[in-house]
Amino acid sequence: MTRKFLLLLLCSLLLFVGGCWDILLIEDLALIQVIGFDEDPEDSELMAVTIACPTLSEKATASMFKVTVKAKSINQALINAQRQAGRNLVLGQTTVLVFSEQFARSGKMNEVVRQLALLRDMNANAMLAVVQDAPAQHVLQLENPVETRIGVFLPNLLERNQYRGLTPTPTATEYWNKHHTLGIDPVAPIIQITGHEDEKKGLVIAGLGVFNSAGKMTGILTDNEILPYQMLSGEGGRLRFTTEVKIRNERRTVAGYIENVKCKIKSEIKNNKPSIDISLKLFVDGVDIEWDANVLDHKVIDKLGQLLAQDFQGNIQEMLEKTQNWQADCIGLGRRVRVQHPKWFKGKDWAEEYKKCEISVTAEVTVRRIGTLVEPQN
Amino acid sequence: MASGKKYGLSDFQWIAMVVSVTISTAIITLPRSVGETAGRDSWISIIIGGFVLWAFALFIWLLCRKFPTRTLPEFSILILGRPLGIVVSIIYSLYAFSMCAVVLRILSELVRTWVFIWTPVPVFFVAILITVGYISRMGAVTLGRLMEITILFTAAVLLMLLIPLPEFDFLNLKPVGGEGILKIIQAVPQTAFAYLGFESMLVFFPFIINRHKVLKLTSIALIMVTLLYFINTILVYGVLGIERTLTLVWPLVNYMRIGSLPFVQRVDNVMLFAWTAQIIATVAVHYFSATFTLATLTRRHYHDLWSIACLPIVYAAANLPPDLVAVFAFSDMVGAYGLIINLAITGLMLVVAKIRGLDERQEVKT
Amino acid sequence: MLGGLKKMFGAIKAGLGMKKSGDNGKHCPAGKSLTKSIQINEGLLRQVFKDCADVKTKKIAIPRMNNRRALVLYTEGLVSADNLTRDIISPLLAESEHNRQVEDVIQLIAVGQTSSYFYLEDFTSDILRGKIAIIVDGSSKAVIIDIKKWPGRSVEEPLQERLIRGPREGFTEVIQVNRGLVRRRLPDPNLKVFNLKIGQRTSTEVSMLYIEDVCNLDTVQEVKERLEAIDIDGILDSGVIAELISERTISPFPLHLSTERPDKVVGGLLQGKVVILTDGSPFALVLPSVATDWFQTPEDYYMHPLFATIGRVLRLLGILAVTTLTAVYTAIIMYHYEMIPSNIIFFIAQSREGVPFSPLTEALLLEFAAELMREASIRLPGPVSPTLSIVGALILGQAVVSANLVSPVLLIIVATTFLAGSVIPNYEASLAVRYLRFPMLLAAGFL
Repeated sequence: MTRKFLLLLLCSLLLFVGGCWDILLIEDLALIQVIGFDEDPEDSELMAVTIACPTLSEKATASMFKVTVKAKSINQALINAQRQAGRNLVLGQTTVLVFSEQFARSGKMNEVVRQLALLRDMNANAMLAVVQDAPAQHVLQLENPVETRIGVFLPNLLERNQYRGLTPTPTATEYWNKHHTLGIDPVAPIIQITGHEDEKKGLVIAGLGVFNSAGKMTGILTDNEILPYQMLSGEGGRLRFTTEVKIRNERRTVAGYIENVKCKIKSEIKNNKPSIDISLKLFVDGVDIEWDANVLDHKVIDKLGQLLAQDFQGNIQEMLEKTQNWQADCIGLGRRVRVQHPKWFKGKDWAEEYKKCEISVTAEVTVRRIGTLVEPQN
Repeated sequence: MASGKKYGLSDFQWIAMVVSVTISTAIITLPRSVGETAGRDSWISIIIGGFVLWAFALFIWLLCRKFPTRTLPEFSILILGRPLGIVVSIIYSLYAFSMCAVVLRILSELVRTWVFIWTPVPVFFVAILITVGYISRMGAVTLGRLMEITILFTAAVLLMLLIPLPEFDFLNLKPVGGEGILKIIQAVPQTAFAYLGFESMLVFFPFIINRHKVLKLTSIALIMVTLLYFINTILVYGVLGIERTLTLVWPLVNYMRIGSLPFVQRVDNVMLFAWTAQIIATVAVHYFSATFTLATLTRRHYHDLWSIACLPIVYAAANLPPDLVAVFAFSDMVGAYGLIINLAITGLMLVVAKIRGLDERQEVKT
Repeated sequence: MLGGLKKMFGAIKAGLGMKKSGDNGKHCPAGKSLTKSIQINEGLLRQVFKDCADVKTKKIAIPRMNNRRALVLYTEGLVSADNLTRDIISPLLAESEHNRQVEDVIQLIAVGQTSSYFYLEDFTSDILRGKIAIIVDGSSKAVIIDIKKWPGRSVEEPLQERLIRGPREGFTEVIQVNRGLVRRRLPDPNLKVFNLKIGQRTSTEVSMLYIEDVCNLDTVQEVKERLEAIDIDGILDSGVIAELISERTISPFPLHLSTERPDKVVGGLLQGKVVILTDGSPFALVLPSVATDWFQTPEDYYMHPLFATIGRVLRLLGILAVTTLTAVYTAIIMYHYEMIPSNIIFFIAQSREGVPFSPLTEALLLEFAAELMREASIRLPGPVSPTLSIVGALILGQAVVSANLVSPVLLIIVATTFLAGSVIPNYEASLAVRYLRFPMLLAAGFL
């Protein structure tokens, strides 16, 4: 009996002594939603970190609490920001990390993502974005008329565009996994600020930044080149395209969905150089085309497929050449080579090899379904 | 209620017990610890490890079935004589205690790293040890019933492992066998700590109702464990990539941080909580087998006393390693020595029993 | 340990005056027998029933026995006056040719079970239980006639365990009726009924029912032994028996299943369980019970398996919710903000803004208020109950949120818990499960 009472006593002691060390009351938190990173114009060693947290009180005049601090590392920045904040700054709800273009190009972005990966309360699924032609803090200062809180507007923008198949939105973890994995390099979407000189209120997704194996952003794929990237990497489910094809010396616009991509990549080592053969099988659907031919004819559809294949093939080749020049293997061709020729791959600097390797692309397009009109132009 | 029911561990309870006691903290670090040697092909090492350990389980079973109604302290005294039998039993108890300590310590390190950064470590120890002490006083059959519940938590964790699946990429696992057979085999001993635990059969064997099915049941349980470890490793490598995995101290937690559920943003926390039940189960079974052995050496009804008196031993042992590096070294050591000790004890007793011709199977049947 | 607790409970009961004090506590002069003289007999009986105003005595003269005097004793309220006059007094008073002997008094009365006794202690309690005693002058035997009619309600639908689909009969307070209700559903000679009387003063009739060839006879023996070992003054309800025969009184969870429904009892019997019926209580005990019995209703057996399964899973989830929902919410709000999805967290944080209490205090207060409301709705007289729900739930909830004392999210959670606590069909189990959430809540808040 005494024993059980002793146990009970211990338990109750545990209840009242235990806990409270890690208390983080939700109303005392400043939940950081977006963090912006810029290079400090005066001292290149420092970075200017801007954080944005939504304000919870009804009496607050601004919808977001924003503060910019200068620091050498993210930890230092958080400490400096905490000195200016009346609530506990926490990273667990961070949804987007915004970097300026210089920051990404100098390789500091890589450093920051590494530091963030060390922080345990950091949301590992935070998305990345690189701002072109403007410092990141400008993005954070934006107040879009539809949604004044940038912490809601920006993640929604990225997520919706990914859902519609317009851009991949890699998270910090995906970035970091790709950076670590041999034979594939990470990407991050590029955003731009829209609007007049005085009134900058909107954002636009402008392309895809490509990083090399050292973690520096070396090039930017424009919005047209995102599609070939998506076809090859298999990222982004609902791909859609608009393009122009030449039919009887007339440029005609074609638009549609890509239902399915079957991508086969074969590599060979010739003269100690890899040559990669990419063959794509695309199935397109719901094609709208301005063409006066009867599209219910097999010949017409086949012809259309051929034209589209040519178009895609050219775009892909162009995109690959660019990335080869940037030494950034964002498709992950290196991994295919590693799997197919593990012995050759061992100890090689893939970034150098990638630049040298020969890549040939063949695309084959099957048009499955076509628009609603029999003769679209009539 | 049905009249024919016997008091003991049912088939499912025994499977659940083996699964619960075997799967412990190792699942969190296994992808890294094995991957350091075997690289991408760790999963082959894990399957081989499963088979090796299964052979070991067979060994123990051969011994146990000779004495269907006796536990380790009883038949060790019978086989080796009183002094040596006591020594063997005490060695086994010490091993089981250190197993408890390692598991506890790793859990506390894990929780302190990821969830409760400021909460002092003794709080976890005390909280878990009180629970474990309470559970183990209830006896073997209650323990078996508890395992039926904890196995549900294990199943929940297994389901949670599938959340980051959309990021899975087979290319991260190819080419198969690229590291060479030698390295794969070299990595097998690394899995020892992960697979230890089923040797509690030495103590629990007499409690099982269907003793003639023990080998089959244990095999099923070990296959389940192997499968779980295999799935775990494959998933972690496939999602994070081998290079990233090797940079992580707790790969599984980093893995679980990817992806989210509609109502829970961070799955890793949920997994850690569900996992705590598993840890308590592991510790409780080891702890029970240790205290039960000691209690049998003295008198069986002293078990209540032993199960409280031994809590400080585990507590002290869990506090032993000064830092994280020492913790991992400790766990490796316990894994290695545990394997050797168990193998030696079982082997010795099996041989002596054979020589002395001790076999109680017939007597018990009649 | 348990022994100690039992002692403690025993002491408490003794203090409350429930424990019997003294030896065989029969309240009549032990061993006294009747004499042939009616005067002496009357004196003896008056001594026994001293100050028992409800025991009535009627003196009559029987014409057929040469106007021999006789004494009729009965307890008012337990005997229907009509029956008494029609079946006993009238035949005795009837004029007739034949003269009868004293011993023939039994033959004069053509109704009911009769028996005769010499000793006072043998029949005094029978009188108090509604039998009629006739003592004729010149005979040292009392004739006891059983024409009792218990005051009691008829078979009604059980209030506590209502079913949409299923029989509408419920047990009453009369054990004979209850046994009949069971027997009607189970006309099998293997259904054994074992009667015994428990309680030194109440000597309450208790029946143990089991099906001999289904039930584990060890269990039956165990229950029998435990029942026979009960030593108490009075049994007022089967709940007392349940407490006295259960092993661990410290566990909050019921180790038996108490039910008002005959169909549930028969279901239990068919599964090989032992049933205890107690006189004066509409609740039967089904022993032994396991945790899964808590979320079973007889309806599960009467409906499509799919819906029955869904219902059961729902109740299981209800148990999970009632024990953990508030606790989990508190723990997350206090320690693990990162687990809340980002589209909800701002809503919750905003709702918490300006609330003066910590989440734990807030949750405890609200849970306490919810329990108060439940208790109040049971205690209040029926017609006032709806008012209570309006005042309690609507006005209090509305006011407390608009005063910014608690966050609306917590109110939703507590209301859900309240609902979830009401789905458990077994009242005792639901009590245990419901109060379990307070320790859970404390643990969540402190650890």
